Amino acid sequence: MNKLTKALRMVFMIEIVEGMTLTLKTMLKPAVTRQYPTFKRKSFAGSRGLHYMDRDDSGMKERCIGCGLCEAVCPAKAITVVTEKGPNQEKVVSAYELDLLRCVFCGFCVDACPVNAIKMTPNFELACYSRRDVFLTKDRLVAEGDKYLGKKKGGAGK
Amino acid sequence: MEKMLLKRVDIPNSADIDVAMKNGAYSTLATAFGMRPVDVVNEVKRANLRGRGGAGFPTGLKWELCSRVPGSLKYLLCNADEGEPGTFKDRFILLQDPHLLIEGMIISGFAIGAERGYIYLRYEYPTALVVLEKAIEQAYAKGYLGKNILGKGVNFDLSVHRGAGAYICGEETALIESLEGKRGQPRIRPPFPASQGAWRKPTVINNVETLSNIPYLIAMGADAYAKIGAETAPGPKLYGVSGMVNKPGVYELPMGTTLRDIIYTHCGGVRGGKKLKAIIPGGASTPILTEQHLDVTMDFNSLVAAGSMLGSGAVMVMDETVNMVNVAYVLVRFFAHESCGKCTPCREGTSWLYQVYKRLMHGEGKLDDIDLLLYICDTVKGKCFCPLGEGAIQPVLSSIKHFRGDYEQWIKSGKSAHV
Amino acid sequence: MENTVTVTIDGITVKVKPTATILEAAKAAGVRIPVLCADDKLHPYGSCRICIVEIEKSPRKFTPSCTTPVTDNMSVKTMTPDLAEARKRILELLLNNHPLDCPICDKAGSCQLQDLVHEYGLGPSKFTEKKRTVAPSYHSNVIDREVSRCVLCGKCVRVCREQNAVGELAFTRRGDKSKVSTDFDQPLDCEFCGECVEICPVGALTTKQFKFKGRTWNLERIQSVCNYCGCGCRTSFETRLGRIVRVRSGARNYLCSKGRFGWDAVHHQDRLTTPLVRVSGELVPATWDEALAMVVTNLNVIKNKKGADSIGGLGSVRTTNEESYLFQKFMRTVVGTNNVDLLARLKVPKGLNTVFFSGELSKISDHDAVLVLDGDVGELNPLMGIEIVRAVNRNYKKLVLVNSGFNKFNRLASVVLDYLAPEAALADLLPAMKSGKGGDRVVAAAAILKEAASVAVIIPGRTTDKEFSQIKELLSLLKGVTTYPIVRRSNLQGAMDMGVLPDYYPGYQKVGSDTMNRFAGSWDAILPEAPGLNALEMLAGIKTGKVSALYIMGDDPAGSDRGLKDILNKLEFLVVQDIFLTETAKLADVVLPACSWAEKYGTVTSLERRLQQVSRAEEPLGESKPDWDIIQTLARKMGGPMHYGTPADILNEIRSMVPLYADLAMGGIWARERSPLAGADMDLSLWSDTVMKNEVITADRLLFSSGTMIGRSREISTLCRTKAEV
Repeated sequence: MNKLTKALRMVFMIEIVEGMTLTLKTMLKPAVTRQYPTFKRKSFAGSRGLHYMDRDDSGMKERCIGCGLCEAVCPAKAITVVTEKGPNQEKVVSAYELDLLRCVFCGFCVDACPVNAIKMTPNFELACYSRRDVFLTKDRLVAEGDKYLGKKKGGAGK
Repeated sequence: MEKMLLKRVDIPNSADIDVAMKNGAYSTLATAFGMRPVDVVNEVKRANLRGRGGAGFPTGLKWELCSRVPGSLKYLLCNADEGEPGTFKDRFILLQDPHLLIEGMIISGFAIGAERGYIYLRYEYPTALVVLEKAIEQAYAKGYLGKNILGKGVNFDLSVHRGAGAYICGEETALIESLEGKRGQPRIRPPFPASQGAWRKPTVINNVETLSNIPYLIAMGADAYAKIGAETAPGPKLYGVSGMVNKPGVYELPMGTTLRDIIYTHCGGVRGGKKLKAIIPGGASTPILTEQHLDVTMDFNSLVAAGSMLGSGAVMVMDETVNMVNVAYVLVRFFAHESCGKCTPCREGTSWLYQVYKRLMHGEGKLDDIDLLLYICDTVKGKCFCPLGEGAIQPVLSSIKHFRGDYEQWIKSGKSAHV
Repeated sequence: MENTVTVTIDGITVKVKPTATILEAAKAAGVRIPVLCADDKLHPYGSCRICIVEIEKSPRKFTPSCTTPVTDNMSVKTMTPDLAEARKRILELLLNNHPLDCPICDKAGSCQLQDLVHEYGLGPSKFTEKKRTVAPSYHSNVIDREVSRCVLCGKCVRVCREQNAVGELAFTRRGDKSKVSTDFDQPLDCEFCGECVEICPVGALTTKQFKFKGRTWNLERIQSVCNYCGCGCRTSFETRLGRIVRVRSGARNYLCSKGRFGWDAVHHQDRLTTPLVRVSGELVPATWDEALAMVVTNLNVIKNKKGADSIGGLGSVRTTNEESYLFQKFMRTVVGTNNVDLLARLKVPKGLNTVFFSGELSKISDHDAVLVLDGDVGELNPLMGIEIVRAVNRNYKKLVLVNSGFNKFNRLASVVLDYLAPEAALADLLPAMKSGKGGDRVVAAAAILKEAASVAVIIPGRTTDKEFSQIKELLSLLKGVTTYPIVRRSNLQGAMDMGVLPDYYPGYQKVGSDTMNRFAGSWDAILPEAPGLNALEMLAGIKTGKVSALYIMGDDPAGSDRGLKDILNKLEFLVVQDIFLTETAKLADVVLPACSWAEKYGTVTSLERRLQQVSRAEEPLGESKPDWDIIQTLARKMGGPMHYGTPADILNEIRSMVPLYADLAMGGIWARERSPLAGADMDLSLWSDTVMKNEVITADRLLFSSGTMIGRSREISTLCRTKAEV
């Protein structure tokens, strides 16, 4: 029976007819392609794009306390946190470096952060012209945060 | 019963050696020195004398353990660090009849082979220090202390070491540490003091009252002594009764007198004819008892059966006007203050209890706090280094057990007390 | 094993000593019991109560395992639901007042409290009161104390008293107000060994050096050996992003202040990064090719003009065995002279490697008695000092101390002989040993020494001829003697083993015609026949013009004796190979930058004659190169055949040339009997009263001050208060 059906389908070129029907149907529908970058789709909630660093409550410096948990959890080893002792025996984050070329945007760093310092914007448009630009420093991360949160610029930490 | 321990205390100027000697002090020395040291130990063992400091360890056994350890240098320490709240029986002897203690120590030292004795005196007993030092000086002058006592070749040197005001130093190993000049903290056992005590030498530590029993015990013989009081722990016992009774004070009664006898017969009943509410039978670290326990006999075994302990025999009586939350608070505050800080459960547990009680007393308690208190007690229980921590939770546990209503009422009322 | 008891731990039956605790029995059974306050180094204390176990048929529900001795047929359970709950409760109590600042705590990741809390899984605390906080103490040198984090386990207090016999830390106050502090809360004034920091289970004690430098899980650990004295303690370099951030003990034994904190000399700004050559009186940076060409030309010119014996080589005690070996090989085969020596032989104890061979340090405490002839032993060889303390504090052995001053050993000693010099003490002690006559103390000391079935004798680092013979006489009167000469310099033993000596080839093979032929054959070179000049003769030879050029590898004679400056200035040509621009390097015509010991591989030999591996923790700084590479490049340029790829190649050659090292495993000790010099009544030391009169001395503790390296450690220099020069 199976063989017979197969043979009949072959003889009457049913598959081609089906395919052409779909093609013709779709031809008559309006196009769904968005003309990126002219038209941009709105991001979904929780989408993971470019990182940014929140400011602390004083607004004077980054929120990061330099615990290095993001570095520890990062599966791609994209983050390097360097800390040192400040003048008042406090922990100062002297460098926070994020290599976007290595980053897999898993968002583990965001989850791991005990003080909610590192966060992600929905911004996924990260193409750039220089290797230096894919290397996020602490100041750049804070600036990204300011840009994203619409805060005033300036005074980005140390 | 004829008074023994307190026989001389009512005599004017009884701390003076001449007065004391006129009334029988140092008269047992000759008897004791006439025996072999091992016989003295056996006599004490046979009399089944149990330590009066609180734990009730058989004194004879303690002595035997120490006397069996080879070596010539041994120490006899007298624990006069009477720091348990409510306890004041030893002070009575120290102030009124120091020669009884000294005589007891000479005999004890002779029995265990110790030629050096120390009285570890509580810091807060400055008068006792003066009295004791004078008494020791007099005893030296009369030849009862020093070399070749009574010409029998017995040597015994005695001095007073004054503590620095720590309750924990009443614990024997902490006492030794403190005596050695270290921080007053309990020491690991084993080795027990009987084998390695002060300066790693065999050491016997006895309470003032225990040592004061010795001269009479030796004088009357073990058989006669064993007939006094309770069978399991014979001998006279000093009960220090305080609180809301008509006649508080130190009473010498045979071991095993009932609480009812002590409170109603000897102390003249509860003050103002009020209703009895609670009794702490043996000092702050013993569980609180209630009216229904009045017929319990005051000796080691029966009090344990009743869910408490004899401790030092310091009976504290409280009438119906007393708020048991406040009682527990005061006791917990004491233990939190006196915890030495060595082991975690005691250090952190007592301080946590104190903080919860403080909250209760300020009227900020919740009904859940009663369970929290029990939770903390359970956390502390059975894990402490020394008995202090275990003792500290007793007032909490027993007050909640018998007087949970007091707690609930206090918390619901939202009242706050000035504490 | 006679006299054992049988204990069952979690169903595993083990036989242990009757004195063992349950914790030790569990260790023997391979069962882990969690602990906070217990440590193998320390006497049991029993304060944390984490280590509680359940003993079958015991009236107590919980028993602390660290303080309870085992009894026969005891059956112990180390993990039951009740115990888990009990431990959890204790952890809850500990956490009540513990600041939860793990994200910025340097201990996080290696914190025992953190690990235990993780293991027992604590939920939200029932504790709603305000946490107790105590002000931190940052005013000590080197060590910070975050008092609030303390769990009062007392390990620091005990290690300071029991292991170090210093007793700087103590508990103050009582109950929940207890804290670990110093007398009257003053800044620490101790040996700064940092053992308290090391032993702290939480982050209450931290070093200033490591503060916020990196999280523990990010650190890479490289095993190496300390370079600051002859003890040869194993260390672990911990690096972060290729830079050393911390040094810890590699063998869990001990590190002194120098070993733990002194490594930062490696990062000192004065490190040489390029070769320097003297151009019109000034030292200017040059390339390696220029600098080496200048060395080659000048050495060749002087060799041709005045002969090879007008060139001398001074080796180093800080370089590796391979480098010392290559240095003497270079001098002997390429330059063609036996003028190769160590200035450090001035500081060698008399009789080292001939009369006195050191025993194993860890066995000091096994001897019945310890005789210390130099009270400064704790400052000069700290590990030796610790072992002496261990003999007394842990093994209850007797200590006889000769000390004119007062230090920690005085408190430990059974008898202190208070004499200005060992000479006077020995002059009294010897008759007392023989006839039993003398002062009370001497007689008491003699009695202890005579009674002891075995005696460890600490030989002073510097002895007069008289003392040397006195000590030899004393040793003949004692039973079971092991000597422990104080060797202050790190790889002195190795450098001497490698034949950086004018009259000995590697392995103490005397320079002579038969040995010469053997070495010449193996090295494929013509060797000078006569023994060379020793270090002092070389310096004297400069004055007389006999020596015209010196090649100094890793030593600073002008730094230790200012008077030598003028002498060195008389040289026609001076090459200095060092890691700093030392006083001597400043006089040089060519300065070659070498790597520090943290930047190269190799082996060193400790005073125990133990061969140990040094490993690279950092990349060489700037253009600096390992000493062996510099020497072999130079040798090739001068026409000598030296082609080694790695230090391991050199070690292989050493093994083939030096019988002592032939089958010496890494970590092994070469047997004294195998040395050609064993038993010879002679002396390799060069010291005498007349030399080194202008030596720089410091008024500070010897522990914190010495030499080129440690003087450039920032951390250690904070510990020195005064500095005096003579």
